[in-house]
Amino acid sequence: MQSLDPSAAALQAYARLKRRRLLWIALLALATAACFLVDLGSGPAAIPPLDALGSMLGLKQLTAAQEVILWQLRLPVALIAVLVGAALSLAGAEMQTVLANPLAEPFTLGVSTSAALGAALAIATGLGSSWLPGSWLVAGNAFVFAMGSLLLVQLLARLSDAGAETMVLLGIALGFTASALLWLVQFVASADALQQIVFWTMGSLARADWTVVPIMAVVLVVVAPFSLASSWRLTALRLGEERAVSLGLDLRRLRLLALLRASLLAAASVAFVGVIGFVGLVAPHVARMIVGEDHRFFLPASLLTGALMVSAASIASKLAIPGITLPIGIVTALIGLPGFVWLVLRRHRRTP
Amino acid sequence: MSGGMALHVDGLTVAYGTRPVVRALTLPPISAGTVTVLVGPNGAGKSTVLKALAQIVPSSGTLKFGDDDLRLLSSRDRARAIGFMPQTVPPAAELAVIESVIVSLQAGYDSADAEKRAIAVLRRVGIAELALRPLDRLSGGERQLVSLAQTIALSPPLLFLDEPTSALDLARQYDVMRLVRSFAAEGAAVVLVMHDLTLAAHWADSVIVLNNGRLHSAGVPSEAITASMLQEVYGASASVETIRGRLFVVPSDPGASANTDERKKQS
Repeated sequence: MQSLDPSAAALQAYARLKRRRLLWIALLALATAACFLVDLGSGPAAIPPLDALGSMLGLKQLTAAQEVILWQLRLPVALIAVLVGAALSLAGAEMQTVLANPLAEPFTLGVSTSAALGAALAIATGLGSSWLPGSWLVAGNAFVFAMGSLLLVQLLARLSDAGAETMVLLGIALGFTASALLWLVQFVASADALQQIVFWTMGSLARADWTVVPIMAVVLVVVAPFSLASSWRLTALRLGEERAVSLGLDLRRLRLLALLRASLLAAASVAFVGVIGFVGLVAPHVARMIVGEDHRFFLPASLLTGALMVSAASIASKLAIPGITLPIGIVTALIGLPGFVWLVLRRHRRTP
Repeated sequence: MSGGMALHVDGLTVAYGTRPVVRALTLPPISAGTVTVLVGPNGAGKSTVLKALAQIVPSSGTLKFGDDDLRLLSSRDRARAIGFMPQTVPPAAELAVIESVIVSLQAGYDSADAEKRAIAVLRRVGIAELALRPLDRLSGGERQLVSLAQTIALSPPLLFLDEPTSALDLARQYDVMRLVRSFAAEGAAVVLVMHDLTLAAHWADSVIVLNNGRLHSAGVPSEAITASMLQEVYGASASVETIRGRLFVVPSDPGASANTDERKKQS
């Protein structure tokens, strides 16, 4: 009785650590749910969040006008905020791990500028992937260009047998090329088209409707389980490449699949709501700070920090200037930038 | 002690790009239950050979352990059969020490007692008290010990350790070398890369001297580590002394610094 077996004590201590991490994840989930409800309620013609919840559960009858606002306007926006936030953050978390680069994010490999180029071409010329129905032209073209840019980077990296660093450089080069072409399109576009292009690239959750939300949900629901299933491999990669190879991992395959997942999430997000910056960079860092880098905890926590961040930004975008909803990309960048600077400074303080 | 199993390396060739670093290297059989140290000057190909043995880098030639062709193992079986400790310490991840060992166990092993096994491994390496510490808050020496724990987690019969003591203080160096001997006593074939020839001579059963990617000589420490080898391979003038039955490498020239001091006094 006098001394506890040291192994048992260590096991108990680790069990406590795991419980603490799970508790954090539960707290993040609760905070996201709360933010989601507030997001539903806020804006012109406020609906008390609890009334909104009651209506969705069929417990409370709202006025007809409130019903329309809630179901047709607020709910798709609040849902897409959560979905896109989760998607971008998960994508960012995987990118940071497989590229071994804390500054990686879903748009590192040029996905966002390529998507913007695709959208701009569709807006300016009305051409594009003509097999898509008219209303989907812009989003569809953005998606096709985003995936195309990923495949191009993969192809170039494969041809040269390049590692993570080269891939990032290729992505940056591709991004610059795409933005040069984007400027060219903007230069020759009509004033009307130019305005639309600029507005598109700012990112807006208001584009969400009941066709976009289910598609985004399906993309996330299909991709996320594959990410979670590779969590131990991704954790192993954090032990260094040589260690990961000696543990029997096929790094090429691991990287290819992770980048494919990340790009799919990023391309879908950018196609539907435009470029929402900083979430994919900052949200995974916040998750890592809270639950560490064991990907069994890190990936779910990233999903939640991203969802929470965009949901909160959605509220802020409505409240900042009464009567006007700011483009979400502006809000996340303005909130994200100080957060990012704080992260960088904190990093320097801790490194001996 | 050893059940007659041995690691056979025959005609090993490794090239980085088109530049061959190791050419048709054939080593004497490395028996299970023994400790073998690879020595040689910088750039001799020691680390490359070790990585090729662990199949971290592509190579050609025969790699057999007993009758098993190591090249034909599945990646999971390879993770169980071969423990490789890289020269570089693990990067500063925000990952608890125990999590990094559990992940190493998951590679070939997925039973529920991975946590228990991880703690047993940490205790064996003597760092159980670091179990919950994140990797990015460890010293270089502590991280090297964590790397060793990751390497031995699956108790592989083949251990390839690249300078496992380079970041450790004197007491920890001896601790690790004692551990290495105990792995061998349990039947593992251990191959180390080391620069400290005196330390190598104390702990190794046999020494393999590499030079320019080729085998220079091999044998028990007293045969392999000789003044003529040091002159020939390292271009270093040193003598090999025996003190209390143990080998020590002693520089013949007591050091240029002493001379400079004398010169200073004279002037």
